[in-house]
Amino acid sequence: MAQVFSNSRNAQRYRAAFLLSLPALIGLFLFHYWPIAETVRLSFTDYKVFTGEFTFTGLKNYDLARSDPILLLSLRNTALFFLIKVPLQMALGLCLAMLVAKPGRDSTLLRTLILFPAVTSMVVASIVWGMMFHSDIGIVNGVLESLGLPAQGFLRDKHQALPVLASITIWKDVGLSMIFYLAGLLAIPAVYYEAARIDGAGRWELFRYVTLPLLNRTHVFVLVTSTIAAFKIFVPVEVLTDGGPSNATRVIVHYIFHLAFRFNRFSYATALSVILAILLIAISIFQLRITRDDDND
Amino acid sequence: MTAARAGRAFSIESLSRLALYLIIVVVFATPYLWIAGSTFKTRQDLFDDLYPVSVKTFLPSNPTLENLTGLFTQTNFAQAFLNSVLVAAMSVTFAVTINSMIAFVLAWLQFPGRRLLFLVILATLTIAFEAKLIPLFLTMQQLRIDNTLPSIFLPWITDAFIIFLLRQHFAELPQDLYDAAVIDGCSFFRMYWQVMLPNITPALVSAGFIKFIFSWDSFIWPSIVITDESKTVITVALAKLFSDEYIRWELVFAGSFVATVPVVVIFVFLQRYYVQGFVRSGLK
Repeated sequence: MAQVFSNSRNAQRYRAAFLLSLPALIGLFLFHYWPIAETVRLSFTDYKVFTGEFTFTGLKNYDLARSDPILLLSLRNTALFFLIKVPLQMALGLCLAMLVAKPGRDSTLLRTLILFPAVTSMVVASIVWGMMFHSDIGIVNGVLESLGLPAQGFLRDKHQALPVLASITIWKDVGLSMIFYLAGLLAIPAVYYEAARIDGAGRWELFRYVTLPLLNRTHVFVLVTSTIAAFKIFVPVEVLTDGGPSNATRVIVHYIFHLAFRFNRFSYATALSVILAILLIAISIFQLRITRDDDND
Repeated sequence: MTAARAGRAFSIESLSRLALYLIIVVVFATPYLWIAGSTFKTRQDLFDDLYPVSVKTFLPSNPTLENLTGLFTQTNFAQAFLNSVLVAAMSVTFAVTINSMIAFVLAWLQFPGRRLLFLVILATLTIAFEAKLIPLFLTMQQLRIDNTLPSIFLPWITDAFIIFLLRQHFAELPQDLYDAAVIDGCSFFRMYWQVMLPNITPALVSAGFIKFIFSWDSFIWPSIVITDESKTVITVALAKLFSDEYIRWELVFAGSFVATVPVVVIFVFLQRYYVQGFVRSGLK
């Protein structure tokens, strides 16, 4: 291209390019890089509510975090939430994708319906499922009773609350997992299936030895993105349980949010934000590593 | 004999398929039917029709608009709805413009450090928005723009995901298009605005719609940066209705209905773009 432009036109081009990039660069700086740097800086300070000042205190917040039982509890609950949600969502996403992969009117309609929750606010999803799972006036207990089964506590039961929240978010997010799996499925060349069928593979073998391994990249993508989403669980907790009953749904983002915006403990909350950010990056790298090793086998 | 067996196997399969479809429809459609039906019920019917669960639970026997009018006259929902629309419109307009401009530069200008700049931009995707809440909030306070609508959408206008998506689409446009425009004496800016941008319209719709959904859904950030009731958005207003001491269930249903129906209707028309936006950016 260089020969087409004279030098002055080149300069003009760079100036135009700079102006075109400038708004995004300003936005990236102000709302991405700078807040990250500030989060790290504030995590080494102590915030005084009365003066509104941040004074440097070194690693004090991190020392505090090491012996904070609620932090430990919220990390454990978050991990448990992840363990319930992610495997189920991946399995369901794949099953739904296989079900609607066949071209046809019913597949198209089902896809649309399954994607409705993806465009419905998490607040609405939380409220409507919260009402359906309501232990006194909920539809779910109504159905259980008419089937002659005992009514459940659901969000009021400390063993059921976290799984119920996980189900709500699976309902909301499974459509997107399905879409990624669908794209993966449609990208598998039909010849693989034909070749395997000629070799006498049955349905299960086709799934186990053709579909599953050829979806490896999709598995990794869905795993990493849904894991990150699971660790950031916040809205249903805030709207439905506020961390209860007896701390059973206290999760990390909810804890950070309340430290900062209910108790004004900004500095300590930023230290926990740093820990959360590092944790998320570490988990993503770990998951990418493990799945890459699988690839080499 | 074999034909009969094949016929039976087929019918068992189609029966189980039908059952599966039914379960999926029940799980995914019930919440919407319940919201829609209850929105048009009187408060009395709402509770009377709950048990035993039947068709009646989902259909208003004495349809009324009372809940919707109540929602708009007795709460600040009309204002919150308008604010959400404004914030979403601003988010989409600014995000599509600003991100497409830098995406075009990254795709079509050769300059030293181009790959590095792209990587540095993509790196922002690794840090969760939730981890930046506190400095963002303090900054908005210091700039004295907390409690304004721009403070809601400003932090999420620049979006590495959209830059990535649009850069891909720009980069796939043919070199011939670029060369022909250069020979016609087209400036770099007109190249972006008049030659390249119209050619990636579907991707712009994808990016815009995904940003719209994100903005409409947002809850944690608006609930932090907005304390003034008149500046609140629909998700926060709805959560507040739901957390009142004395919950007005009929209004909660009406609020959920209003917050959901416009988006779902738009989605039915823009579905293809929504799906394409995610698929194209996810698997490349």
